[in-house]
Amino acid sequence: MRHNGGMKILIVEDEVRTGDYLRQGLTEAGFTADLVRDGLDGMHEGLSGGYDLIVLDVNLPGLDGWNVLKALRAAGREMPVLFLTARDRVEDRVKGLELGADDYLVKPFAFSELLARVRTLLRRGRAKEPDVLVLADLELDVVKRRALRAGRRIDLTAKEFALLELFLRRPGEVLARSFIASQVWDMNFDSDTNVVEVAIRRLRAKVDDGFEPKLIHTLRGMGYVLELR
Amino acid sequence: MKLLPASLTLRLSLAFAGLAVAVFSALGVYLGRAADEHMLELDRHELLGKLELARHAAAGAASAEALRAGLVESLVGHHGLWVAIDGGTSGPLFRWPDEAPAGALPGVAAEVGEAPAAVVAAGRTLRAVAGSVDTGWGETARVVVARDIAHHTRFLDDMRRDFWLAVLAAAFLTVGVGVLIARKGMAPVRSMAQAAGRISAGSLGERLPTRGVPTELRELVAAFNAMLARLEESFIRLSDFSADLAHELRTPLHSLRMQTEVSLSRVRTADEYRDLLASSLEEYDSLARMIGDMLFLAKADHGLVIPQREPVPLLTLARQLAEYYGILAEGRSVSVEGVDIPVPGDRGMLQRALGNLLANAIRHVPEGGWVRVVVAEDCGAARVTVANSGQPIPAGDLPRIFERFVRLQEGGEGSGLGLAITRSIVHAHGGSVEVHSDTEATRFVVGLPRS
Repeated sequence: MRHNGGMKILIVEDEVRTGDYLRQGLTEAGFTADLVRDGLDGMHEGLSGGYDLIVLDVNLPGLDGWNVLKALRAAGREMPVLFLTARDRVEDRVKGLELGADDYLVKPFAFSELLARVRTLLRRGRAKEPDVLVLADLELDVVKRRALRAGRRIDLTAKEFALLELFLRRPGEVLARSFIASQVWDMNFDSDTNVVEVAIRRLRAKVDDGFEPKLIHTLRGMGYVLELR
Repeated sequence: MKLLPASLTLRLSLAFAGLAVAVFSALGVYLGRAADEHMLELDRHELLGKLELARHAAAGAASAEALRAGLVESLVGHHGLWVAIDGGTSGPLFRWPDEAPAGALPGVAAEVGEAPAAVVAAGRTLRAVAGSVDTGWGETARVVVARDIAHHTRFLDDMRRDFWLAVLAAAFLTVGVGVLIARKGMAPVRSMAQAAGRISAGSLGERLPTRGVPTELRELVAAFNAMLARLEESFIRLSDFSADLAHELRTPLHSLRMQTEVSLSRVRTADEYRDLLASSLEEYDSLARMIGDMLFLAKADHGLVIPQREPVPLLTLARQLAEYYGILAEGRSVSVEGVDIPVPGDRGMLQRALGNLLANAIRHVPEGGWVRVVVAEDCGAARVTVANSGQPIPAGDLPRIFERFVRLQEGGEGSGLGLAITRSIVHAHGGSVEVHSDTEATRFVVGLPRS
């Protein structure tokens, strides 16, 4: 697993099992994750705990997610906030974004999707990403649009290039199919087709076939990961 | 409208009665006038006759005595008649009969001429005419002839009273008969209401009888029956839908349960557990997707799917979708052509709607076939046609192809909700979607308004 630099994440979630697994998942992904189960604790921790990001459920006992967010922003806390909600309503989304939420996920969501979004939010505003991405003997020059494996040129279509770039910018991260579809093809709905599967199979044929070690791995039911095992 | 009585029967009966009273009254007024005229005419005729008689007698009489004798002879037997003759110089010449009113006549009838006029003399109401006569002895005299009209007036008054009583009786009678007639006329409405009252959710198949229904109500019965048919259809669809939903949710739950139970029944390796969890996760995903789709459709049914309105260039969108789903094409040709028409809409939703059509089309076509997307302008609207060369869809299946959980192929892929979602999205955009299928191609045509 990739090292996440000891980033501190606060989870505010009243559903016991969801909260516990979120904490476990984020901790295992290398973050320092704390869990509180109601809005008041959430606000208190959020104000004083020095967190880098907050995962905030909308429906909370005591103080709801909107008010926690309002209190945080009013106190000048600008850390990214990722909202979780069970109800996908446009007005909720709009309200969340207006109040200063940074992203929004509707339950049920894939944990890998949450992880990907958390990482995107934490990466925001960082130093510019490098132009040449490297993992083991795989090299991708984003500017020259060139891919090399063990020094040999690999021919990729534009979408395959975008897909490989996505993997290389997130090595060791499990990327859910829906996340890949939205990042590479801008498909923002959950489709039950196996397009991404086929696309990965083709990319793998070009990147991994005939090379060792294999870099693209399938995590059944979860998605795909690019890493040196 | 508040003034109208609530009962239709009463309303009709009162209308009948009102009409009867109005007609009878008009008739009564007319007949009364006619009777008055008639009486006047009779009086005039008689009075002028007597005036003429008096003139004749006066002209032929050599003296006042002779005049009196002649007149008395011709006036004997006439009752209710008064005659007064006054000589220009000799004063009163003749009074008939010798009673008070005759004496008063010349006084009260001083202004009267040959047109009959009403006068009152000695307490009697009389009608009188007057004229001058030249007597045989060379004097000019004035003759007044009058008639008692009391019995005429009495007769007319009696007649009027009887008549109004008859009108009143007729009005009451019409109300009574009207109530009966209206009741009878309303009987089909009552029986309709009773028949309608017997219909419940369990017996939506019943229809109101159309036989023996009056023409005026036939339209109502037909409309009511048509409404029942529509209700029955929606009701059946809803029941089927609930049953389908339960089935669709139960199947993956059942398989999840089975595989978990079997796996737990003995100790397995970590890899086997991993496999179990991964396979469960896939099932959870498809369950979550189906529930999400169901929620979307439920919201659409309640008009809660409100698309954002931003210009969405359709050809660009179609190209992007073709690039994505084209990955699945493998030996099928996927082409996109046309003009890039922007429509106001929700990009994500339109992507989903057209994406479902494209995914279906590719799924439906065997290797070597083609899928073609054409974006065109049609009468101010944008038209997107997604055609494929797959097997034609049987005509009987076309009408229900957009229904939920309809999968035309046995064991067909997908949730069976894709086309229903497409239709909901297109409708939410104020557009329409149709399907045509023949041996050449199956075409889904989406029309979207440009404003």
